[in-house]
Amino acid sequence: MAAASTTGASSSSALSNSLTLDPAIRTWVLVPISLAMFLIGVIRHHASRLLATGPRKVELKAVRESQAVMRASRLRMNHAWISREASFRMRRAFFNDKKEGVLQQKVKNNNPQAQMMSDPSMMQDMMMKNMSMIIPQSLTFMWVSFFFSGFVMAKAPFPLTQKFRVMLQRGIDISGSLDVTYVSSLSWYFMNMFGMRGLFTLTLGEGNAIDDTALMQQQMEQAGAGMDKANAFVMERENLELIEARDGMVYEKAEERAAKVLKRALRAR
Amino acid sequence: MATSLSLTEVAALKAEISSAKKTSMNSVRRLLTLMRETQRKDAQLVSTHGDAFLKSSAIKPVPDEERFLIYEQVAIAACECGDVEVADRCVSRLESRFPGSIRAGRLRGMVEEASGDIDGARATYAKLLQEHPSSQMVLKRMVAIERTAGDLQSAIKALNHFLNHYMADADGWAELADLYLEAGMHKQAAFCLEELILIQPHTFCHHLRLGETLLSYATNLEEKIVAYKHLCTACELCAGAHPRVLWSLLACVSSMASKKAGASSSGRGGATAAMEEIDVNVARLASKQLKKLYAKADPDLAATAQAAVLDMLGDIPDCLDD
Amino acid sequence: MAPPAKALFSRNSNGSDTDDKEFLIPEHMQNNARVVHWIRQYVSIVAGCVAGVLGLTNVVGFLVYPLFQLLAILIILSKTNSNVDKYFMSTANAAFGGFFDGAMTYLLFWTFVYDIAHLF
Repeated sequence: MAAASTTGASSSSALSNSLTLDPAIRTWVLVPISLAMFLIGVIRHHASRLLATGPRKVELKAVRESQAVMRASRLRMNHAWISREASFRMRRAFFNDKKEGVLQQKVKNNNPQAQMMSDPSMMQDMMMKNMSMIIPQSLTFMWVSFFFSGFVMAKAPFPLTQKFRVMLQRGIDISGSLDVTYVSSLSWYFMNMFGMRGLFTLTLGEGNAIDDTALMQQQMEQAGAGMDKANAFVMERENLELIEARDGMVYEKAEERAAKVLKRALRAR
Repeated sequence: MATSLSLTEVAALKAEISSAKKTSMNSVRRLLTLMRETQRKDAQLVSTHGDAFLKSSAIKPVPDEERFLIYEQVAIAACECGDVEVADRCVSRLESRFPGSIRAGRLRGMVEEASGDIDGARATYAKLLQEHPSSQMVLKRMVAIERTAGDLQSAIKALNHFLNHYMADADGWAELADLYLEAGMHKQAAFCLEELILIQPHTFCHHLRLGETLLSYATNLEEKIVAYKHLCTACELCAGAHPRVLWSLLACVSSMASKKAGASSSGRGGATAAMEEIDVNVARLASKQLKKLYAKADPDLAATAQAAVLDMLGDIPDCLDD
Repeated sequence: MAPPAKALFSRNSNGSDTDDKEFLIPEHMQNNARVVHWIRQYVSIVAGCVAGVLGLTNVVGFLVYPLFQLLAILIILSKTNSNVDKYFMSTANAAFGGFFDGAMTYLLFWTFVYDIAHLF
């Protein structure tokens, strides 16, 4: 393969512009790296789909708790549409009542980390996702840095500052005089890694397994505050208490709005 | 999702398939796909033609994903119109391909229901529920099976159990309201309809049904006013375009104004008090709108409609103008 | 998974103008957003290839990207028959949201084609 280190470059001028590189680099380095990364991405996508575990079994009680929170927040949002006396008060009592209120009940604090430790299938799922992300990336990195190091491979058509030289020209011995825009294969690897995402969206459709940013965001969220049920309960409880005992606006002015709408309907043809 | 383009295509395909002597298998396949996407149902059509499609050679090039979806679709349609043999065949095929699958298990239960074996179906679902205690699919079937068996009270109980956990299921609340109305329990039905409104506040038919239900068991003025407010909201949301809303509104006003109406709890009584609470203008506008709608849609009926309106509102001052 | 449907779906079910309230269909909005995202990515790739073939570098090269994105916006406008409100929440959002989504893709393809065409 292209293990030769300095056969590629033949400079025509002492400094930067117009280096001509051996076409062999193009066919044996540039294209193969891109192709390989693309294919590895496709394989990863399909492999993760094949290995995906089925839907996790959820506890019935847990369902009730999370749905209760949603129902309470919906009540808070839409309480204006139903009558005050009977309906809203009754429902608020259903949630907040000291002894029997749904939101008053002690709930097991389902911390996702604790859940991860106890639930083997979720743990396995997480591990699979991590492995499928880390292993191909590091393998490709090692492959590129082992085989394709020590020579100039490509020229970036956009300007770069000198600070990038260390990162992008790693392994190239002509330091100091060569334009920073001439980069090594490793930088091509990184460029591919970031740029391929768009290509994958096009070819593999939405929801592909390559979108690392989404995965990383998810991990960060989980490391932070998980869906803390106890807190959610307290929040919803307090929010419900705050709603004043006054007829909802929609409910109050229902007649006027009906009259307005009817007038408009009568005017139209 | 059902865009208007796909709906017209569905209608066209249906017409073509029902009238043609020798049905084209491509059309059948396209129709099945569209019906899955738009969620339109036509049990007999899907059952007969789907079955023919599955038996024909046109099934061979169909990819696996689609093929098993078709099996499921035909099985459900066959259960609905009683073609038990067809359904049984489809479900067996699915069970052999996906052993232990909960979707196939539910279909097996449905086949048993369709063939009349209620107890067998109950046992199937109970077993499925043990393995997947939180499965929405199976819990819903438990309700459906009680309804099939005609046992209203058990159906209500099962549906309550389901809704106790899956509180956001709008269809579930609507179904429970239906069950309560069938059982004559209006107050509980009203509660369910209120839940529906909390989930989908902008849908006018929820307000309409709630208003009608409240009106049917209201005894005093306060309750009727609640019904009235909901009917006004329904009117606003449908832009005054549905006659049923307008009729219900007029019925409500008429009921409030009626001299036979019970005295309100705060001591004021009778028609005049009621008329102070509400704006007669709304009733007047509603009657005019009704007249307009009938004149446009069905002029022959307009006279009868007018007479009915007069009957309802005639006693109320300022309500009608001529 | 199949690419998103290429059609744009209108954002509410009734086309009537007399309604004050607009009832949005979330699936349609999502679909529209997906279509726009798809168009942007596609245009970025094309833009990168064009810039590379033409041998543009530095600032000029960077200008090509916004140029093509504007082209994409024009395409979207024409598809909606200039009635952007019917399909998106706001014109500004439809036109400029996700403007730089395809930037990395553009860079990649620009470098790739430039190097193949001009460097070797």
